[in-house]
Amino acid sequence: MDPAGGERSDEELLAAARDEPEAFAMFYRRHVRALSAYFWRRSRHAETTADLTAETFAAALDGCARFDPARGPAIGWLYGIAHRQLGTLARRGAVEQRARRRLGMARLALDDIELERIEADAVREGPQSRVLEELAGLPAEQRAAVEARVLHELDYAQIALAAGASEVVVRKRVSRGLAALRGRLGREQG
Amino acid sequence: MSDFYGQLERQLVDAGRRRATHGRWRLALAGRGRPLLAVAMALLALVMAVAAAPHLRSDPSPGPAGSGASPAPPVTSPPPPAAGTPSLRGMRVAVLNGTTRSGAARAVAEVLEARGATIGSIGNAADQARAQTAVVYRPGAEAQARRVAAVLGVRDVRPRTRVEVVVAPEAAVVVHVGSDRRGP
Repeated sequence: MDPAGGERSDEELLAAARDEPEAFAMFYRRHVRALSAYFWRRSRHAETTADLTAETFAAALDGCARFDPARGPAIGWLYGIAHRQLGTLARRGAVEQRARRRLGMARLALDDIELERIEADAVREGPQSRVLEELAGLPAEQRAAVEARVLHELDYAQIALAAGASEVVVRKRVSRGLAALRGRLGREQG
Repeated sequence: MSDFYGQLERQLVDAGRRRATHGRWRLALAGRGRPLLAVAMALLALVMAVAAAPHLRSDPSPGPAGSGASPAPPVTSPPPPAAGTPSLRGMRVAVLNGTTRSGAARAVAEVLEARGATIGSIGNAADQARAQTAVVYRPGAEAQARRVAAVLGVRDVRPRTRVEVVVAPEAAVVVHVGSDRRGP
């Protein structure tokens, strides 16, 4: 394991994932709960949620070599896969299993207790994951600034240092990012 | 016993390992598709059998092979499930490896999971030369941290610093595994 594993960016983890399964596992752990909550909100069904989550991460693992950081952040790429899984489900009435088959991953059988736990987790995770999804859609610089400020509670001077930008610029990115988030979250609820 | 998220993670790690191995073989023996596939399938079956083994046991204590083909030996023996040991059900705990021994954080995570805790991130701490295992908590979660500390037999319990805020923002309690958790 890489000593700095906990601090690698999503993009770095995906780049390493081809040769280093643990890097993908770390990417998975970062995002699996929020992604499950995303699927649960759309399916309201724990088993479907588990199935979609498993297939999405299998597809991500299978396709991580094709991830291109120049085309946007990793979390946007992941939710792009998730979105396609939902599309397949809507068209065929069944969750895709292709990526899991290709990787030799058996479909996990879950008992009622486990299904309840998935649902409870999704409900708990809900509001935060809505924000994370919308966050993924922001321009990369705004997203990084909002994450650093709001999720990681760093102060502006630290973020500016890390981003190689002035504090004024970072403040502007955070406030624009938050305004965009408010707009998106409000729009969907309305 | 493992939850859905843990099982899926193990499947993904195993699949990643199989693929990494398969990829190397393909490079070494380019052009021989079919026999290679058979060998890969046999390997796959073996890895799956190894990964599945601990789940087949009825023994509730988290066994050594929880992380599949991980090279690390079991380093932490779980405390016996004695009466009076606090349950960690519903608690979100992150575990960071403060040593250079791979698998140390996962071993601790499995102990906590067996007590009902939900494991958030498992990863490496920035400081990998930690001697003593410590349990840190976010504001308001001291009582939870004390329960985790009791399960692990840890004395060092304290409020979190900015480091834990950044590394494990979602966890109420973070365990920093130190080299004092070297197993038997």
